[in-house]
Amino acid sequence: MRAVTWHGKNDVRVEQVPDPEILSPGDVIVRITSTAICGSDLHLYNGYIPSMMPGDILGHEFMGEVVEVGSDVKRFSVGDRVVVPFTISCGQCFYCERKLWSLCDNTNPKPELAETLFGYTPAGIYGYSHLMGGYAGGQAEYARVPFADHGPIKVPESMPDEQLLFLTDIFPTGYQAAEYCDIQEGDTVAVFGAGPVGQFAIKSAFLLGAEQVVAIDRVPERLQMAAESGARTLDYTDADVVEALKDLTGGRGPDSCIDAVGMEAHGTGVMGVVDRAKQAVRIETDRPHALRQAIQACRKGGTLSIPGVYGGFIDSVNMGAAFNKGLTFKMGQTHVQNYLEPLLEEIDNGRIDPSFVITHQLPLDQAPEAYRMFRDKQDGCIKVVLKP
Amino acid sequence: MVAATRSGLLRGLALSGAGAATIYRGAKGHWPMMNGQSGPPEMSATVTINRPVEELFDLWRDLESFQSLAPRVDSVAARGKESHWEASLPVAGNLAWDAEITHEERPNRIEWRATNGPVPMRGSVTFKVPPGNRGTEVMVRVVAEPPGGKVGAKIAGAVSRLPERQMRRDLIDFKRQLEAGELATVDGQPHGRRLPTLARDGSNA
Repeated sequence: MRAVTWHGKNDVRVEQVPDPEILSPGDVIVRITSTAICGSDLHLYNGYIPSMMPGDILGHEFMGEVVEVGSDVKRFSVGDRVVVPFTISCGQCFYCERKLWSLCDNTNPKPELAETLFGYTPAGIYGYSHLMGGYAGGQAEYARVPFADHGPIKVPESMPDEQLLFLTDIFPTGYQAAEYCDIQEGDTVAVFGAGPVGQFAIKSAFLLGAEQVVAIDRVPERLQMAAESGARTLDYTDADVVEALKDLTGGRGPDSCIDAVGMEAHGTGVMGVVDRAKQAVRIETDRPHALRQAIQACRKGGTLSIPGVYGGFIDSVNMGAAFNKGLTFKMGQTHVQNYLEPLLEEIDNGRIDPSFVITHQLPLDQAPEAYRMFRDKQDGCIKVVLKP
Repeated sequence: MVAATRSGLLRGLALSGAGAATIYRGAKGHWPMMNGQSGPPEMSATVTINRPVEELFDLWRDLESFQSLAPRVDSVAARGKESHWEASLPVAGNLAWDAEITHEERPNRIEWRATNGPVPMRGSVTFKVPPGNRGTEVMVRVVAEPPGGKVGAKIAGAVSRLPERQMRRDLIDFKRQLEAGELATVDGQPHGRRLPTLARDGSNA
């Protein structure tokens, strides 16, 4: 089959590789009909996630048709149309029982790496480095889906891929981020980063009853899209974000802030330069500019919700501001399984059409160009769907 | 990235891959490559398993069924408190040893002693239920009782340095088989061309 493989910084290729096979009785094999490039794939593309190996198959947002079923699989049969969550979960451990699916104890085949870096291993993730288990990803014609009874859901034939694909990650991720804000009547939510996850966080914040949502980015097309969802927009390159947010909230500050940027923020000013320099020489692995601003901007007693991916270490975090304002931090990889059915229902009843975020559809063979375009935000690129 | 040298060494040694049974049940070990390291000849590992304490105790105590969770153990013949084990291990080749349960308290504790091997050992497993529905804490402790002198010192060093990490991993695999019903794996999945210098797993060069 053809698959998108990683070969180093800024080097992804489409290669011919063997088809995946059932390796465990709980596996299914899915023929992929649609797959997407995630903003977090850019962290791999830009070389900031450790433990990638050349030849690793990328991709954790994919859906398709079940073509083969392991002997222990109970919930699926050949021909089922499925959406696959990016988190791989066993469904039986302490964490899965408490619906903390992305923290599953049992799905990272190589827990030692993550234990060294994080203390304990989180769940395995498709196509997201050997730190996260080294699973082959879904930017390919086929993918092996392990622990199938505890991940994918069947989806109706009547809905197009474009409406369903983002249940795999970015819609639940944006939704969980908004849910973490515990939105109350009259609340303002500031969303740092209007990429695909930010866009879904904006929509979700409104679904959950936010009075006002403010989107912060610098890319005009992203701000435009956010405005179309009803958000106020701020271009951080020509505004003092903290002051502007104060002005938009009667001097109080946003009730909650969502950092939908993560480890590769494009900071401005002195700290932005310092972070870039440190990251370049690997003194600091992550650039936390959006995080600092979100901490600074948030009102006293507010919530900071972090769906943006961090992988390692950050410097000069204004912990004093966070502490003295009594902020609550909520973060982590998304517990996707919690959101599949409820959000499918939201799509089905027309409250949201997730395809709004797609700006480009390309054949899988053009993945290298697609990665470059997405990284450089060329051609109004916000979200790319690849067709195998 | 993580202790690659050490784990490479571990995998070359007799205990690696033997599964929980070999060392926890009192295997005779065989450490052909270790030399001159010293330290206390004792190791332990603990994991919490999301299963009832009685189930875990009974599984551990039922030596012959326990074998299915220790893939490299070829056979176990048990009669009462006594058992005979056979395993074929990389490097060490075919091994056989006897074990005897010296003390048991259902569902909290089993103690054993391994005999008829170059490294006499004793071990224990303790099952403890923490408050608040958190599963069962399983603690395994193995103490080598090497002979004195130079040979004994070598064995002592090997026991203390080598297998604790491996033992913990074996215990995690035990937990995974019981909780998830399978061991998560990526062995055998497709990948693109590996650069020869980076193909550490040797799967493609």
